[in-house]
Amino acid sequence: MVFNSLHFLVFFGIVTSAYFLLAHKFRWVLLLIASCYFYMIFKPEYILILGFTILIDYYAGILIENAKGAKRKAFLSLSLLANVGVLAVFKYYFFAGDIFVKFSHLLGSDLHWPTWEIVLPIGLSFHTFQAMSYTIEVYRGNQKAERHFGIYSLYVMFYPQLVAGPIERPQNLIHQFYQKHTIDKARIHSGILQMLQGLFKKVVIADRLAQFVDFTYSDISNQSSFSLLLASIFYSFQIYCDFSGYSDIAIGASKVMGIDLMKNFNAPYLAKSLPDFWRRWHISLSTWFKDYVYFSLGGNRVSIPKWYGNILIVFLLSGIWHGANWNFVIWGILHGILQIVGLQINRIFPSLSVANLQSKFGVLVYQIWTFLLVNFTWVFFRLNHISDIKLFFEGLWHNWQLPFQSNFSLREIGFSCLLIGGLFLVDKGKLKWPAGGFWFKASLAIFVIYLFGVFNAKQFIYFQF
Amino acid sequence: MPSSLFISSFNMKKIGAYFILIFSSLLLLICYSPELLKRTAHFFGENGGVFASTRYQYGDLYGLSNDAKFRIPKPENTLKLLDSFVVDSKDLDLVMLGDSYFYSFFQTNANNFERIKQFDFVRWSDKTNLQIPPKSNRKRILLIEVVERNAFDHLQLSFTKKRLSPEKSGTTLNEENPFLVENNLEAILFDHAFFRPFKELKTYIWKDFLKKEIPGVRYSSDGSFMYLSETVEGSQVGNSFSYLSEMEKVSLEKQLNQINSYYLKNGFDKVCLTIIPNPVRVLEKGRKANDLFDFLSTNKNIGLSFVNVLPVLSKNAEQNFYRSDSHWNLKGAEKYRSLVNETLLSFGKN
Repeated sequence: MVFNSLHFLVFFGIVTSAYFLLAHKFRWVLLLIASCYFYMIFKPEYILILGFTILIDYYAGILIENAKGAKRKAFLSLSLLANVGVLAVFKYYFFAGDIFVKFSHLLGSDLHWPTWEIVLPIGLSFHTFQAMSYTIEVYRGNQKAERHFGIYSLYVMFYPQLVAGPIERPQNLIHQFYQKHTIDKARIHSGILQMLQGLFKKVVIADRLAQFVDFTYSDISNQSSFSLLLASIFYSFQIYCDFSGYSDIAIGASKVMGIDLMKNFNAPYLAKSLPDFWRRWHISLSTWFKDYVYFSLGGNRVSIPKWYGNILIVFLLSGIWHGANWNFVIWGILHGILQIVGLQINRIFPSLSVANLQSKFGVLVYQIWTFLLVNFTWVFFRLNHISDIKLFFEGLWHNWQLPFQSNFSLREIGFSCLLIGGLFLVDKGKLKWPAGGFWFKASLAIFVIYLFGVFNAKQFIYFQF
Repeated sequence: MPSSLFISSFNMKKIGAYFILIFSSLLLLICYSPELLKRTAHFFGENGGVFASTRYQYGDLYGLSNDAKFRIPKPENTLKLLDSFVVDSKDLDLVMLGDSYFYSFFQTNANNFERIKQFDFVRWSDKTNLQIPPKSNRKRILLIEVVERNAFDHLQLSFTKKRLSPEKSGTTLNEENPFLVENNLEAILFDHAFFRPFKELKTYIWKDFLKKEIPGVRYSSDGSFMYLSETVEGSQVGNSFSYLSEMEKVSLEKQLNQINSYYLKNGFDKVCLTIIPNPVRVLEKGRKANDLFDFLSTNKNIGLSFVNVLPVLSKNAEQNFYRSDSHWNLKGAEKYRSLVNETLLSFGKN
């Protein structure tokens, strides 16, 4: 079920009202059934994979807590292996096969990789990572093993964040399922307004920009340089509004029920450097890699070459997390390399460091530069084939003489730019909801979303991960 | 006044929650049940006013586009039955396999046609098939009517057999798609006259301000007609302007001959085919459409009788079609009936 559908609207109405009408002790049952329904709308049979992950990690948590010494590590390793195994089978099997076959061809042999029909379960990487963070936190002693199987299942399956995050930590979420939440008007209003804000980002901005981007990228070789440049910029905002829109709806929907989810975005395109960007973009994933991979590798408390190696490993894994394809690998490595280059420049020219920025103009230059770097890397993220990426950069360089062709009128391009400008003002805190009561704001938002929204129930980009 | 008469704020919140729960649950229940959905639509249709459905009131293309310039009331009456006949004898039976071009404009009655004693009709969209009726001592004709955009999909023996065959099939065709919940919800919640101004405003912003194409529809070159976009552009074969390859033509010829042989073997004396041209084919005179109709009317290898409707509908074409609907109007339907009747009158005389 996608958030930008009427089906979700009705579902949300039923679940939320029933949640408040039910006695507290039954609420977890309701949320669990609702989450199963929400997930099974996509492809019912994949609930079994989710069930497998839940079962493994539930018992792993208890075993880790009860065990001592090396056994704790062994149980953790088994649990992580099971989770990574699920990811490997459903997400990386074919990619591994592709590498295997190509490698065997290089060696002059003609080996085959057995294949079968398989579809990637929606949001697999999200709920697997969430499940993994539970066993790691139990192992580290930051979280007590959850004995209530239903509550633990709900931690993995809680529908607002089940398919595209935020990837929650058990310490933040599990205890909230035990708390009794009453109908709090202010909370409900605030949650609904956040949901509307997310819906606006998704259907008014992201899905509109997607039309231009999809049109341009569907025939790269015949596009002018200007079209390609504009498509790349529009894609940067499409993916931002698509994903942060989803997060806003997820956070808002939970908030209505009294459950707080972590913030996932914090004005990422106002970042002054790449490390700053990663502190603001997909925060729940960035902190996951930082807490569980980067720090485990030693972080920056190691020799400089090893430190740089750690950065590269984390970004490589981040790229692979997004998808089993070479473009994601390149995207991750590129981010790693750019971070290392930035760190090295700061070491050689400390005066250029972001920390030493004094003027507003200087900040603006750094923000634009950071955006351009991020924008450049998004090209690798969006285009799945290396040949398309090559065509894109060739076209960007050579196709200045080609006429600008687009499925957007100049007015719509102008309108889209206006929306992007508005988004910057919102991120800078200079554009806020108009003054007035909840009903006025909500009605206005619904009216504007209806008039300017693109309603094709397009799935969120991050569902594929 | 006793305080118990007041509803406390806490209770108001609960009443609100109950209301949302019941209303949302009912909505979902209706959307999952085709029968309830039909009844609800009927209820709204009967009550009219702000709850009246606007989807087909002004034509199906208006319903798709909500373009205020095309809000033209569409008469609901059907073509009158013939009150006089060229010949008095009723010596033929007719079975017709057709679509909304027939059932929305004609009464299902033998008196639409010359020489017809018994008339049976089966829709392409029917949920169950029609068993070929027992043969009388009269000659029997099968008339296949299909709109151009569906011709390649429908004109296949496997497809026609599912609708019309010697045995009564127990299987249900065109089962309800569970993924139509979204469409059903949209119809129940927003397909009401009350929302019309908002929908038209949205269309105005899209079309006249942002200069965007309205999904699903395209406009004639002079802006006076709307067309279904799939009939004007795209790569699918139902589009009047897509190139027809030799392979596609050969395949169509083969399918038509299979259909002809099958029904001749199963109690019919003649099989006639009429393809209703997409309105854009006859209305856009400046644009060269593909050669589908030429191919069918000149091909001697096709066994069934192709009754070419194109010339009669092309004459004064603007008068034969609605401006805001993908169908012909009563004038177009009348021309079709005349042509079919000419064919029926000539049957057995050559």
